[in-house]
Amino acid sequence: MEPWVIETHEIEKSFGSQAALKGLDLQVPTGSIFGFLGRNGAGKTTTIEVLLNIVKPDRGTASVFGVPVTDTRQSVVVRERIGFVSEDKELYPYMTVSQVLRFTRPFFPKWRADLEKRYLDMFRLPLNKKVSDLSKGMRSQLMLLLAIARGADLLILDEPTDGLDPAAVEDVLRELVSIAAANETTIFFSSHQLAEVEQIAEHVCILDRGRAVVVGALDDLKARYQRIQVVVERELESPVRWVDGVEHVRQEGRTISLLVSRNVEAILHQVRSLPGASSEQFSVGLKDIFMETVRNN
Amino acid sequence: MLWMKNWLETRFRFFMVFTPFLLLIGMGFLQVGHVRPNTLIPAEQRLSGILAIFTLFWLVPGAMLASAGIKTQAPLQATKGLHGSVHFTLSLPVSRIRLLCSRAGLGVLEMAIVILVALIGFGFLIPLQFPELRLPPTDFVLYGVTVFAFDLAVYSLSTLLATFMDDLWQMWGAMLAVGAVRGLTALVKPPQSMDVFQALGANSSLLTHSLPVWPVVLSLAVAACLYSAAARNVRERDY
Repeated sequence: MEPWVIETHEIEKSFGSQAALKGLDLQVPTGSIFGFLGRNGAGKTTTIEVLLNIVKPDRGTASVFGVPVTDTRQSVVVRERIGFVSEDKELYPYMTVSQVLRFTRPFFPKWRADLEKRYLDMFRLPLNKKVSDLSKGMRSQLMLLLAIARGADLLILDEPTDGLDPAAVEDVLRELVSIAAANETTIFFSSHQLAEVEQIAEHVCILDRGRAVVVGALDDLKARYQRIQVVVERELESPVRWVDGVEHVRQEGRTISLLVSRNVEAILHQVRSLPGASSEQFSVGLKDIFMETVRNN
Repeated sequence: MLWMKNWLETRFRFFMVFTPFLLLIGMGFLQVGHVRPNTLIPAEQRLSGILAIFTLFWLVPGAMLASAGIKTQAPLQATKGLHGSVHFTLSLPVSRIRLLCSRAGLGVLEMAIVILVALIGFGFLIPLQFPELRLPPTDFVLYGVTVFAFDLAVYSLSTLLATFMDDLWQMWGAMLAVGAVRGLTALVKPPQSMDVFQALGANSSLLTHSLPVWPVVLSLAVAACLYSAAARNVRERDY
């Protein structure tokens, strides 16, 4: 088994003069739940489209299950192993739920009829209703069903909980975790909902303006990143040249807030050298890491 | 399963093309015996005039039934939502070329049905209107082959346009382009034996009793070139 299900190297993609990806490096471990975060327009959907060969990269390489995404012949075979939920949750509006299922099933040799039934019951999807008559939440649920029932080894989910009510979100997240655990399925999902990502992801990548700015195991990141709050005797007249490891600095009057990712001891030593400084260390959550790194860029 | 999807997507368009042909032939049958033909004009000349007008009608199946194969379509309705499902389609383990070919296969089949039904109608109607011509059935078969080859070229042009244009633009674009070629041939006047439009009118097998070989070959060659270009576009482009 390959260590990485998805690997990209220096991917670049522009649409006209607009650069969507600027040298994206990404490695998604096999069997992991991987949260892909970023602001609107950061390049999340473009990355997913590159992985599915919907758009072609201008430069760089990307592979899924070790197969280059631009290998048109092999990537067709690879797509049998991928379940996908698109960002817009658009399906064929002229088909009924039953027709969409009948249409999709034959393409996937490992189709899971048991999961199809389970999610039809769980989501209470009306078989005879046309897709165009479904609410956005129901369309999201149908797309999730179609992705999961493929019996895929990799689920690529673009905002999978978009349009779902809080109870349904909880159900979906729980199901995703159990699918990943039971079938060793890799789940690669993008989301704006940091709480959701924090709840289920083992690894995360924060994307900003087409580049990965933070990548790693969530637990490692949480252990590595800290906030150091410093109160100084009087307001600093000139900005401090901080040692390496300070990701972001916010100063309000005599209070300085530092987000640090490494070199904590050296930073604390520097803090103590400030006139009359007292400091306190805090652990931080994914939201802090996200907000500070994205804002910092 | 792709055929089912393609049929659900194209059926309205198919009926929109099929129905006017049926109505036209039906009206033709209703006219028999009620409208007295102008016998001062030779029957060949009258038939030639009708066939020349009908060239415009033969444009419609080719232009309207084509598509890019991946972008879904439906006639006369907002297609934004339909286009959104392209990403789902492209996530299926099916190559883009297979998607294009399955759509083109169905489109060509639909086109063939329209042409066949129209020609069967013609086969009954023209002998009633022009009994003096004594047209054998083989002439209708040869005429059908010519129409099919011409429509295949229009279909391929429309398919090529659909790889970078939206539905309605693609349809009108194909018709306008063929209209422009028609205008050009009227100005340049290519040899009659090579003129595709003449092969559907004054030079058609219904009047010459032979297959206009070069126009048919030319149409098929143009269709092959345009379809290859469409396939290349579909394979290379971003969706």
